Amino acid sequence: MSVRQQDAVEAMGLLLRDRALRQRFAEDRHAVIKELGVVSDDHDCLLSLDVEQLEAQADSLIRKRRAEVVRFLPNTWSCLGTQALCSFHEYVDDSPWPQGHRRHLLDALGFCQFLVERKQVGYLKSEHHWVWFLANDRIFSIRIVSDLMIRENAWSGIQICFRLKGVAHRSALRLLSRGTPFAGQ
Amino acid sequence: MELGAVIDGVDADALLEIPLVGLGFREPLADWILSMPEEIDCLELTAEHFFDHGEDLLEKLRDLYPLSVHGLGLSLGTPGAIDQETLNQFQRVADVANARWISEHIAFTKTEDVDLGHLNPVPLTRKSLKVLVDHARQVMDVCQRPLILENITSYLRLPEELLEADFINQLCQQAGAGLLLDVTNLYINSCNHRFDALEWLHRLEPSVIKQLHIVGYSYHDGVWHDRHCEPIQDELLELAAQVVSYAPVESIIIERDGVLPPVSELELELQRVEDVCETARCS
Repeated sequence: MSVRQQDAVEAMGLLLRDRALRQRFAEDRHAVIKELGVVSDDHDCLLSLDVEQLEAQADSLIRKRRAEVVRFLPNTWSCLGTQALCSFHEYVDDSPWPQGHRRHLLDALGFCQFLVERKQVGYLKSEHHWVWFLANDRIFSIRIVSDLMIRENAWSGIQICFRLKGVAHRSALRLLSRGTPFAGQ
Repeated sequence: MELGAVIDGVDADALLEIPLVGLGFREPLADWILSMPEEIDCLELTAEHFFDHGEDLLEKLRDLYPLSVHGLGLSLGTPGAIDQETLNQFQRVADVANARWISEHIAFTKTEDVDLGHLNPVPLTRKSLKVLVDHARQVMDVCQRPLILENITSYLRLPEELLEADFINQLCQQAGAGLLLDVTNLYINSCNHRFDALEWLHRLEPSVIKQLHIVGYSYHDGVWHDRHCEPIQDELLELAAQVVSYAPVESIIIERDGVLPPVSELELELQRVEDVCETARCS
């Protein structure tokens, strides 16, 4: 089977994405360069990479992804508490990287789905509903939820998401206070 | 200095004009920005924020301010073809905004296999130079607007056939593009990779520097970061002043992200930047 030839930029993309590949690269650069089918002109470039700097760059990409996800899911992140970081890293290792200009939103949606599958304490259906709504082209969506976060208190109620002149809005009808939110682990 | 003179390829008159001072448009600031506060001379829009919606808003902003349209996802440093769909969307936003400038990064964000979503450095080789020059020309051909290219910050230093400043000079010259010099990125790289920021600056052709980005850096555990969430520190303003004295910078954009500060803080920051520019130009 022929291996597609990669240049230095393409190989760096793969290295930055894949933690396991970076570990193997740190142990045996020549083997990974051969495995990736890097064009011979670019061998020197990859051979001279500083693996600590490569790791730092890869970490920064994950950190930026995480910051964007937190922006979409601030209450979820807060409710996950000390589990948040660990859960996010597991999600990153288990899932394909989101693509395109909506990647941050898709990342937030993917993270919610990951938390659902894990039955993770701290998951908030109300924020999941909101990012799901943002990621779809619906005009209107309604859900009964038990984790509306309003002024640092959790409420059961009805969450309504809608678009007006193309701009997404959310509103809630509070039914029952559930007190302070469940703390993270 | 005699008016009309040309120094190092720079029109001396251009060095007397005070640059426009503005900021990166962020939706939570929309009402304030639409009220036309006197501190804002110009705006930069992130193209991707307008790919799906917001044409009405773009039209309103276009009527109020000179606009730059800033790209994040064209990945000019990736060999091969530019993603046509992204380029078409970018062009549409630039057209609706009637962009005075369009900008992208000297970087790659994706390859055929992966969309990394953020900026990564390219090797400073002649091969990368050709890729970037070809892509920059293509973007200008499609958009029919002047392009400026931004230096990035990176934890990763790649092998250099050319010094970074020489690489940028050649890129701008061969592509017919300008430089969007991110002062904060320059400062951060100079700290993390231990080089002299002023020496780096003075290696650049002053005539290529068209616009500046500035925002406060973050510092944790001995490493400087560009998280776009801190007020501008004095040393960055000093570096910006050096650039404004050196090159015919036309505008300076403050780029805050994440949790935005109160409007009053942004107003003060815009005023500080303007004061620094005025002092630098007058001196």
